[in-house]
Amino acid sequence: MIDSIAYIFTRYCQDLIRAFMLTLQLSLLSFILGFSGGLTLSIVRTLAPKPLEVILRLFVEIVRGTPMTVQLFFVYYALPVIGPKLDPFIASLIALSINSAVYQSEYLRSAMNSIPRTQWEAALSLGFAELSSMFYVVLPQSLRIAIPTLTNELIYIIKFSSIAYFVTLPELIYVAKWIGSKTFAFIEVYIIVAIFYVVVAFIIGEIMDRINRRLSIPGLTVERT
Amino acid sequence: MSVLLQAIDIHKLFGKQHVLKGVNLDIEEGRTVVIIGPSGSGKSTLLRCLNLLVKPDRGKIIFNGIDITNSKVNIHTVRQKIGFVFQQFNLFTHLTALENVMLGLVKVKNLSKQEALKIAKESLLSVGITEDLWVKYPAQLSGGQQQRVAIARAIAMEPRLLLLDEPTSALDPELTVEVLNVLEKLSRNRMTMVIVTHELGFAMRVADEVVFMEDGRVIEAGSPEKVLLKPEKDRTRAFVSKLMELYRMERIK
Amino acid sequence: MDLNTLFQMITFIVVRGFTLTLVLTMGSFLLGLGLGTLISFLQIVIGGLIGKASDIAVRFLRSIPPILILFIIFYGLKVDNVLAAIIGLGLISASYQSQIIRGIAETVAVKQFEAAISIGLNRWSAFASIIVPQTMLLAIPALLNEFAALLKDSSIAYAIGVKEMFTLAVNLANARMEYATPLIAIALVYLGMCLSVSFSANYIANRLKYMGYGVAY
Repeated sequence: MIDSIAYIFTRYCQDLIRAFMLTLQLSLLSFILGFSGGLTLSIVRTLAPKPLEVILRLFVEIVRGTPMTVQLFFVYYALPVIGPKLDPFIASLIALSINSAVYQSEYLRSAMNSIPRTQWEAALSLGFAELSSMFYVVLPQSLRIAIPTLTNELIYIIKFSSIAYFVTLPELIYVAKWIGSKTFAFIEVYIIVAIFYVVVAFIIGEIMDRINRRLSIPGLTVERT
Repeated sequence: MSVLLQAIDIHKLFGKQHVLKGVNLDIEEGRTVVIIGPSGSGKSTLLRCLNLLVKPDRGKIIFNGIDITNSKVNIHTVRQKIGFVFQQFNLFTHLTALENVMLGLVKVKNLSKQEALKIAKESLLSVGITEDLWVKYPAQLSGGQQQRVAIARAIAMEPRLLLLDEPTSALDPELTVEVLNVLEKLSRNRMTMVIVTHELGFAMRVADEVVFMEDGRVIEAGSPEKVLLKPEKDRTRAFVSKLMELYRMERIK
Repeated sequence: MDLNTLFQMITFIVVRGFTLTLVLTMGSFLLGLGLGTLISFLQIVIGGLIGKASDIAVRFLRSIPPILILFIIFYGLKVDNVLAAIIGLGLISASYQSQIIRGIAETVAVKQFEAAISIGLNRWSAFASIIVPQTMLLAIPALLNEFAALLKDSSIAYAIGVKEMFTLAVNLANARMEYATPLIAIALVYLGMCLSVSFSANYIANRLKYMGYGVAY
């Protein structure tokens, strides 16, 4: 089995690398879009009036209560009815980003709620308006607290970018199946791809942990489990 | 002496709890007013109403001639003129001592970094926070140091009124003195202050007026000699003597 | 989009697929629970090299996409596809559940271990009669959330042809060449299930808080 692994790796190296880059692009982009969306969502939910908050809460519960697969299929197959036909990458990007934005907003909100209300009061007492208090006092602290959880979210997205397989995006799993069908060495390819994912998760984890340590402030450190 | 702040008939309810039941308070410019009373009397709530951290359900607050309870007033600009020092210090955990003091100057008052730096340094030195502590984060400072930085943060904004909510209650006894000394210095320099505290010795020495509150109402107000040594109302006498006993016990220790 | 068809589809999907979805979810949850408690037991009580090894295994499982694990087990071990799904999802769930249980056990242990020992219990009884019961009780909300996550992840079994609810919905959509209605139907089904589970999780968490246990989940 080891020699078939080596064989596949050398013969199909290019295809694997290309698929790997696609997976990485999709994941990183979804994470970044998810972060911007999630940050905005969490700020709006914290500062907004009740009616808006309820509508947003409804949206959040819907996204959290349905599987990513359903969301992806919906964007790829159902949306084109009222809009343009989306290519697999864009559809996956949209579905993953929205999903991630919702989850990240929940993590950020939980981090914001863990900051004592009194930090907020101190900012207001100096003359800060609500939004500025959020920006200069609450967010710098909550973002630091949220880094470990967001790191796990990034790794989660890299894993789940694999559902793009279902909509024919040539990411790692899809290409693995393709190589398998040509060589009949399915297990070997799957193992190679599994190793890819494990290594990526490990590297990203280490990078983010290092960043976390750099940004940490005495009194505001959280470790990742 | 002109009246800087007037609280007129302040009522506040938290759910069913009637915490402030019609409080009236006049603060004259340059005076130090100390508010005493048992816990639950509404002292902290009253203080928080004065800079509208808490909105009174009824009543008016006139600061510098303006009715700040009127919703048309930009409360954020008003708050720049009123400093607040909290019982739990509430320094911004993610900033150093120096940055804590500078934040309001740069972001709220829009001063340049150099100006803000100069004022911040002066402020910190005036409360006895030396240069070696300026780059420390709150978690690295003692309680007394944190509270003094909090005071520096408040006075750097050059407020016309300083509100302090039990500034020494969260401190170990040895650290209380350093904070009280700073407050005494501020008082002698004619800073208008309203302080909620249990420190009766401080009140005797420094206050121009002592207000006793219980159960959401002002029971008695007057000079420290009158309220603390020769109170008119029984309830005042009961509270003060209880506190004095505690005080005497502390002294003997 | 017509409400009648929507309800018809929901009924169809639920009647034909609910059992399998439930089997997948319960199966993988129980496998995850058993394996997860075993792993956290290894890590806390035995520790050392074995603990470290299980830690690495857990990190591995948490990095690999579910689809991949399902493929490896299904095509590699050549078992029934439902079984493959249960094993695959169960292994992944075990890695998450071991983390949950371990985190709670450590919080409980910190508070209660000293107390238990000072009333005369030895290490083992302290563990068994004080720490374990409290841990399992406190873990309920978090484990319920994990259950909800498995409910959703069961849809991945579509990749190996298990006829659970999501697969049925997709087949329905392919048959009728219409995707919106079946997808909305299955979305509603999942929403219903997940919301009820998280509702119970919240309720239990609140009762626990009321009883004096304040562990966050």
